[in-house]
Amino acid sequence: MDGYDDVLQFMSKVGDQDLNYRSFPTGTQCSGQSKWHLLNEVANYKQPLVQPQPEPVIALNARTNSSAESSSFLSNTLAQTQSKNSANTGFSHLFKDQQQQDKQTKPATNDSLSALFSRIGS
Amino acid sequence: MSVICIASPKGGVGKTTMSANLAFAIQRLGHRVVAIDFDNQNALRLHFGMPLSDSSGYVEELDSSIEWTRLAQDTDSGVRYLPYGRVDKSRMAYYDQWLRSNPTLLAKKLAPFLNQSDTVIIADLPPGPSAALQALSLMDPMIINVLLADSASLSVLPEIESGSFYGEDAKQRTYFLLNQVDMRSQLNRDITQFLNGRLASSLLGIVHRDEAVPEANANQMSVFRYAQSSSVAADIDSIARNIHRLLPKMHVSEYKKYS
Repeated sequence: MDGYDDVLQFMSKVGDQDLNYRSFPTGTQCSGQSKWHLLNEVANYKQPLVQPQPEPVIALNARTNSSAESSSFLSNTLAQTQSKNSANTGFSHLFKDQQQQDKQTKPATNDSLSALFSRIGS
Repeated sequence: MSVICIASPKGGVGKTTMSANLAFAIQRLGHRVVAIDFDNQNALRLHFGMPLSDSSGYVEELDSSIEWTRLAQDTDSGVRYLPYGRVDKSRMAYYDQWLRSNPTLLAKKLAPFLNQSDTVIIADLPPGPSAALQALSLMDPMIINVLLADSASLSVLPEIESGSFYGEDAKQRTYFLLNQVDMRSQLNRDITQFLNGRLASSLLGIVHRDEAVPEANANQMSVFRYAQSSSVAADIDSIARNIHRLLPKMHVSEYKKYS
């Protein structure tokens, strides 16, 4: 980090024609290790997982049990769930690199507490 | 998107100084700029040369029929500003209540400014969540977070990124600038490098720590007038150019007015 040249970094931005928040370069490595504890913590910070609300269970009416209708309902529900999940991703692409690293180095887990304890332990 | 909110979850990061100097810089690029003080500290006016003893402002005129365009003060530079005014605590509370009870009233008050297509409103907001931020959010503003390269600013970043501070809808309108960066400090360098990678294009630029800024403030003038060739003037100009590209395109005739 001692070799960082902020002037050069921002000179390139002056010519950046597409200063759009949605055009984030996703390949930027922004995690890594630093000697500053808080910097590491923010760099590796994961937003708390939002548990998706279960869809309301609708009992299928025995009189309308045609396979076409039920499959349409299921596919609609699935599509809604997928669109909600994709809308909730937000900044997740910023953590892409770190998430990929995590997947490679340790088993996938949804337990944020255990992940926190393992970080503190390390 | 011609309303720019200069905001931050943290106080003391230089929002007011940045609001004033960005107003000058954006005006130099050909926009008609109005800087409005939403912070009850009533400090923005000092950057535009208003005497300390002058207590006038728009908050005390909330219930009058006077248009805010008539309350705006002119400066030699061409930037106009609307001071908050010196009011007592009950009036401040009344203003907050006014904003919260019917947020659309603010948009109506600001409409005469925005009727001119090339007008840019720069809103200097108080730190943290506020009634003004809530009301301005209805106008889909560009939100520029002023951060310092320190642990306090770093610690609020996840909150901003998650959308819990400005709201989910504001994510695509949220930008950042890093203020008072001292490259002699390793911590400053490390945090700047980290934020440059993390925030990418939403980081509009950095402003180096420069004694010219407090000196210009003490002289009640912009850094462009006080220290035109300083590095900090170049920093702010570069950020203003990035903002300029994000603003609605002006017509050629509008540029000509300022040539």
